[in-house]
Amino acid sequence: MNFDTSIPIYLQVGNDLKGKIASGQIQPGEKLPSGRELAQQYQINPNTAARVYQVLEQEGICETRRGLGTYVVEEIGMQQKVREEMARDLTRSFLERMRALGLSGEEIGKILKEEENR
Amino acid sequence: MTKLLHYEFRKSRSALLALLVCTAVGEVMLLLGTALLPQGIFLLRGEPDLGGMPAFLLLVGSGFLSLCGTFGVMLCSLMPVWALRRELNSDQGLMLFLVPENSFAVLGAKVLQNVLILAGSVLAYGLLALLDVSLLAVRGIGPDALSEVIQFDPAGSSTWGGFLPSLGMVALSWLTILMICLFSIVLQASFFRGKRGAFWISLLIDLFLILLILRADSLSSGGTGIFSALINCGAVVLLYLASGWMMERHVSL
Amino acid sequence: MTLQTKEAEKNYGRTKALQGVTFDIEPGNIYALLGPNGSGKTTWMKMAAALVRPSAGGVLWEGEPVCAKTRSDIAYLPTEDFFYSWMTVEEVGKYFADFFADFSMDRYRALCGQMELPEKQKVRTLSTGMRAKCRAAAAMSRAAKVYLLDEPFNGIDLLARDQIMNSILETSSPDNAVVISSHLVEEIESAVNRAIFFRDGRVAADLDIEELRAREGKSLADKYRELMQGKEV
Repeated sequence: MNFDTSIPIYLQVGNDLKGKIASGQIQPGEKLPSGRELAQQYQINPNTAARVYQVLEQEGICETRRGLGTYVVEEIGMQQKVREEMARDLTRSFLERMRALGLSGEEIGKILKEEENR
Repeated sequence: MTKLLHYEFRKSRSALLALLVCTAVGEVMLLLGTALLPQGIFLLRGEPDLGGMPAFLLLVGSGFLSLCGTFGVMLCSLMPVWALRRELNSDQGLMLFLVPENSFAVLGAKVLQNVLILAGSVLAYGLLALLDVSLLAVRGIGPDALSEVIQFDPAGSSTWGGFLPSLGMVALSWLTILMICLFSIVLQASFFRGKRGAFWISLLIDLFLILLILRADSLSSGGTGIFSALINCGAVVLLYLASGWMMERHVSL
Repeated sequence: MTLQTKEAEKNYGRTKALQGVTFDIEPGNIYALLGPNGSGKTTWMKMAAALVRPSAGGVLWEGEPVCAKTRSDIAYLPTEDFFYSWMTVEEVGKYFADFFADFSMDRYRALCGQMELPEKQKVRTLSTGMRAKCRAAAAMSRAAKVYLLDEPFNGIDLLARDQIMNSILETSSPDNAVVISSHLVEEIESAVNRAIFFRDGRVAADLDIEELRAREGKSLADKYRELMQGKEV
């Protein structure tokens, strides 16, 4: 994975994992790779990998089960929750950048519809 | 230190093999010459007909052997010392100095290698010489002829008890010289690193040390015997300790 | 077990290679040692490997000044081509195995296989790139407490760099520290978590990289440019 090195890597890997959860690639209750495995997978520092899980745990997305590893929280509606959160984040930054081009809300909506129908 | 010693020998392997080969060649020539020489022939200096090929083989063979036993051994023993110079002053030394062994062990391995080479040579060449002389005697070539033809006079110390020890003394003196070289090399790399005239200063120090030892030698029993041997051994040990101390505390690579 | 550097100084005649250098190397981290040529990175590494005597101050391992013995715990990989040229790739491994109790011949063989280094080939016949790979393989086959890698990626192709980086990540654990000195700032960015910047023989910065990103929105390369361009420290 190519990283934007001016943004914390643990956030980027965290988002990548959240994206996989949102899209269903990773199922609730599924076991996640260990810290070391995660580091190998993404070719990142093991401390950074540990931080990914720390943050995800704080956000209530994953949990560490003693002696077993890290698992995605088995919560009903968790997938939708993550999906919606990510969608809103993406939309917010999308809107920010579209507005920076000088487009109004109406114009943005029109372009969206047109591109959607393509 | 055994591992260091193993690798020091490995580094000198080709030189030692070359020496072995040359010695073998010399010995073969000498044996052939001895075998082919007509029984009882007396070799006279200046005599144009000295028995042709056999005498030639004998002369060249023995010449070869003495060269091997002297210069050959000297060169082989000089190698680890000379290598240290290269190792202390260039990247080549990193392989040696990266290992978790201190300077005393590193130098010790080199000194030990030389002790073994010299002791081994004294025994090997000494015994070989005695063997060859005996063979020649069997063929009727006595000590007189020998001393004329090949300048080898075993009569001076013709007993087994006398010959080997005198060779041993020569080897010990050589070892002392080697240690002075070693000391000088470490000195140059430590205190005089990069300073102008380093070479000349250490050369002066070397000469001073050599003179010192000669003086001490002659003050004892006139350059021979137990005292001389002790002085040389003492010098070797002192120089080893001094070199090790210098290398440990003052050399930066 | 920390590798502590305290007010380390090294003078070569009038040149000050290191001045008042103080920092700690702690286990569980991978450090990037960054700075221009001649800034003192190699001098520091050699000092930590007890190859260079400090003019003042020094480097401590487990509270004691480093010496030949500490090389059993601290693995130094020079950037120079230092293997005996008459050795084969395999013999290099045997040499390391002879002197370092923590050297794993199996791991060495595996790494050499991965990097396509024929075991029976002599070092003198290897290309510079292959020699660099061989050096890295030897260093990473040790189970040391501190790894000091001096420009390990010099002259190595992309795939081999990935392999070496991979072996570094595999080796890194909470019990050891890896210090990588490299000019390839961007390439090592995601693997390292701390960075120590050297400039003119002094430490210009000692920081956590994720924090740098979070607080200043800068990458390691950005920070390098910021610290190295401009007036002398």
